[in-house]
Amino acid sequence: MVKSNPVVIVGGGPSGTAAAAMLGKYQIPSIIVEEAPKIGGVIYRGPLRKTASVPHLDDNLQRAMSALRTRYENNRHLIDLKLQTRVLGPEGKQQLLLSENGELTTQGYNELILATGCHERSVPFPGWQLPGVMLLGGVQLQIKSGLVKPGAKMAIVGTGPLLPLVACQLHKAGVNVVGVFEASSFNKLAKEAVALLNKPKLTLSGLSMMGYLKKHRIPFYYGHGIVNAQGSEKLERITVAPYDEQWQADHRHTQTIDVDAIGVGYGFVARTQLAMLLGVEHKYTKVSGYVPKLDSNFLSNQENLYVVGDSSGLLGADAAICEGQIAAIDIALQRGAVTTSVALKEKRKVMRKHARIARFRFGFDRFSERQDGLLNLAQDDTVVCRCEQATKKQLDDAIEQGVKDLTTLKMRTRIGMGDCQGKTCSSYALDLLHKAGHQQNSKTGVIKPRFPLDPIPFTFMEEILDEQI
Amino acid sequence: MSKYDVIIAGGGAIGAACAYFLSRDTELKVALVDIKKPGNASRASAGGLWAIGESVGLGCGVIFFKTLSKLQSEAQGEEIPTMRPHQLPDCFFELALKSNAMYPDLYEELRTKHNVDFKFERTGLKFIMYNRDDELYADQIVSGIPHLSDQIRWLNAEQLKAEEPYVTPDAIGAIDFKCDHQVNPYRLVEAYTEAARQNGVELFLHTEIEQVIREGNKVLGLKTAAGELRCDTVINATGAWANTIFKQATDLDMPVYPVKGQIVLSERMPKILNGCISTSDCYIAQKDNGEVLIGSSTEEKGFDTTNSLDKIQELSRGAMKCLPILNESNIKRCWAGLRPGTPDELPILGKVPGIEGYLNACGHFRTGILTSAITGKLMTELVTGQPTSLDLTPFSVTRFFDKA
Amino acid sequence: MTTATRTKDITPLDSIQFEVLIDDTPVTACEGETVLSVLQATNMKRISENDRQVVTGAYCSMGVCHCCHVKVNKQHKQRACQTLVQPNMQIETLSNRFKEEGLGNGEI
Repeated sequence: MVKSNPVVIVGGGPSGTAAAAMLGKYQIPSIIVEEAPKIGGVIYRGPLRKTASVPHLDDNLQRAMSALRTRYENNRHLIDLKLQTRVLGPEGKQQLLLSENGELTTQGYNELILATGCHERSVPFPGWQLPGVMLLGGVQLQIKSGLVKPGAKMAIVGTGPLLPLVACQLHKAGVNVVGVFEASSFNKLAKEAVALLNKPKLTLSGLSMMGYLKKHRIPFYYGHGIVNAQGSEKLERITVAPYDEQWQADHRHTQTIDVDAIGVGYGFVARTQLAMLLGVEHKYTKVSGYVPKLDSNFLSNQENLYVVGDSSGLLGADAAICEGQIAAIDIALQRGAVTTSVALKEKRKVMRKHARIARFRFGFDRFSERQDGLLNLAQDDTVVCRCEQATKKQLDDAIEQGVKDLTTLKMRTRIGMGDCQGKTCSSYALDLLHKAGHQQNSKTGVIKPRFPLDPIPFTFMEEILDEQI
Repeated sequence: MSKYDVIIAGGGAIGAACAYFLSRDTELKVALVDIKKPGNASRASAGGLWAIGESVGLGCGVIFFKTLSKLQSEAQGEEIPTMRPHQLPDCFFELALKSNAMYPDLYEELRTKHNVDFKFERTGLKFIMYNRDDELYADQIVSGIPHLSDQIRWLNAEQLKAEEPYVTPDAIGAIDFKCDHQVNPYRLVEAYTEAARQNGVELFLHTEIEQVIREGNKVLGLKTAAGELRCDTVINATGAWANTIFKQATDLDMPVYPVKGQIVLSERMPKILNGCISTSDCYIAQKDNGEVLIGSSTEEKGFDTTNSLDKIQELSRGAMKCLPILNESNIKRCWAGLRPGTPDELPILGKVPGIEGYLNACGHFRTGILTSAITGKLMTELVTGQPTSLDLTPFSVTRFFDKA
Repeated sequence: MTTATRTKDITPLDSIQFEVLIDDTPVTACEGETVLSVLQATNMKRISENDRQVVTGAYCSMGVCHCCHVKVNKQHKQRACQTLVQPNMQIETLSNRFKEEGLGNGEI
């Protein structure tokens, strides 16, 4: 009976748990498949080990983490939580192959909600492979979930509201933050003030973050960014420089700063490998890379398959929660668990909230819009694909020889053929193709994800699943 | 409207080879029209140049047709008819061996004149025997090709162990096909394409072919997403999709259909294999990047290119049995390709009686990479009116019409 | 053998603790932690030597980049950021099958 069979939700972050909670409100059971040992997603997972307090994490964050856990707790009788469980890929129709704590299982579904979040965009520059160079989100995970200081003397480079946030968190955790370098100019930020006023609470918090940095004499530079990282065996120094409006570094005015770790944050990419493997149609967006094509209920072109949260397009955790709720309301409606009028009312309420958040977000997106100058940081010998050690020159040469799409670029240079299946390098390679004037479509502009989504031991293939007996 | 002498429909191994040979050996104006469809065989291929191996039914053949020992283990005691090795006709051997012989020179030529490297590697192909039944099967293979006996070596268990230290010590021996080597298949296609481009072939990549342009029985060119392209000859090298172009050119059907094959690829490994391997469970080739490639299945599932757990498991288990070190390694990636299959497993090459301006270069089934070189040469000979390097009669599409 | 000191913890170690071995040196670890946090707590930056002999450290910390591979209980290429510590776990950094065991008859 359709009513009792659980909705499968991949991802236990803000949108996944919000969806489960909303389904729970209408007595619909769900299964959350989450690869981490805790729910919350990268943003709200919090400490992995037990700890008495987290003084370095601000109140807003702690409130949000707590709210997410409450949402789950209130509905836990209807939510089957599978932690440390990864989806390896689809297996047959309406079924996923999972690796649950190292064992293979399958999970069938009638409705599927993908809430797989995002990962950070990598920008290659000389020295970016040095131990100590980290992605901004990686730094955050270390202080929020790992409860460890990533370095003693750190700088933060990149763009967007995460920069001051991470700088404050690091400082509160006892790290010496020697500078924050925001690529966009202050003037550009001022232009976006109207959008930012949409969400007054968040902006104020932004201001108070800047206030904190000022108070603690942590220099914050607008219109500046990284040029290179240096060190013999690990990171020892970075060189920064002013960036013009196209984020082109001015090499005549560089500054070298001693650091032992940095956080680099130039944007995010939706994590869409599973959606693509399931045949969901995608479209390109500058901000988030390729995102699924969805209707107003976040339903894709695949039957009963919804994509919500950052994996449907980067709008942050608050919007993600709305999206999970909207998809859940639609499922409840399809199942007849709620009347059309009630569903519509609920949906409208959430959508209004979503729209407000989106407007605010677009302000920051415009401010932080990625500029081509970043593409010039890498030199000929700078590695672009870390797994295969393919260099910028190899990519440039291939494009010069007439390569116009990502897959052929992969064939010529081996980018995307390593263990990470191109997650780290493909956004940069795509930007290079765009810069060379080669527009892509959703077939040519992605490195096609393949089963298994994560490498698995050969020995997994010896397991016999229940259905196979 | 652009005018060419030859337009090649399809830019996989076959089409790209045609473009290269035409541009190398003639002064003709050539265009190549290509769009990569999911499952296109050239990029999915293992890249084996297994001339004898595939001709005697090893590689994909033995996995599909199965050895007696494998059938016995599956039947668990029930009666099974004797399995004979599935050998292809002599005309195929000729095609395969002639093509195979072209690779050493082709490799040097492309490397030195065009700076493209398709990683040709002399490996040989070893059929690993696990038991007496496998040995009998190997015996039958060898006795079926007496004229090629100088290309075959028998290895006993000790010799096998010395040459392939990572193959399971449970193996009792192997037969080695000394002239069966390997290339990197997608690099081969890129090499042909880039060399052709350097020679002046006009490339229409990412370009869908909409319609064959015809007047009566004369093919005049192709209507593509990049506009109308006119020519004297269209070469159909569209792989598993070849019947579409054929039908538009001739109003007839030819039996080319997709035959799905799944592949399992390991993470990068240090060198653990000297030769390519064929067993009754799978074939295994360690590629130039160190990844171990394991294939393949033979399935008729239309144009479906999804991986299925059952086949991945079968292939993985077969490989782990042969190379126990895989028990400590990871599967990095799997995929599936669509071989252009034909009922008699022979390609479909050459003119179609009564149709002007059109040539078939299709149906290469399991050996497109291997026979791309000879196909390129043959098409060039046909276009320029020279005598062909071998008799194309057995490969004519008319062999299917006789039956109708 | 002296236990390696954890100097980078932000908060005190409150939960159940046990020992793990990092490159044969005992280190205190907490239940629930990842291998990566233990490594970072001891200020270790050079964690992995990849299949192309490049030494890397933590980069994304979320299992996407494959830059933090360590050998865990004799199994190669475990992502330190995705592996939870267990009592007596044997962790080896800068370990790679290309360097070890003299595998194969030559570099590819």
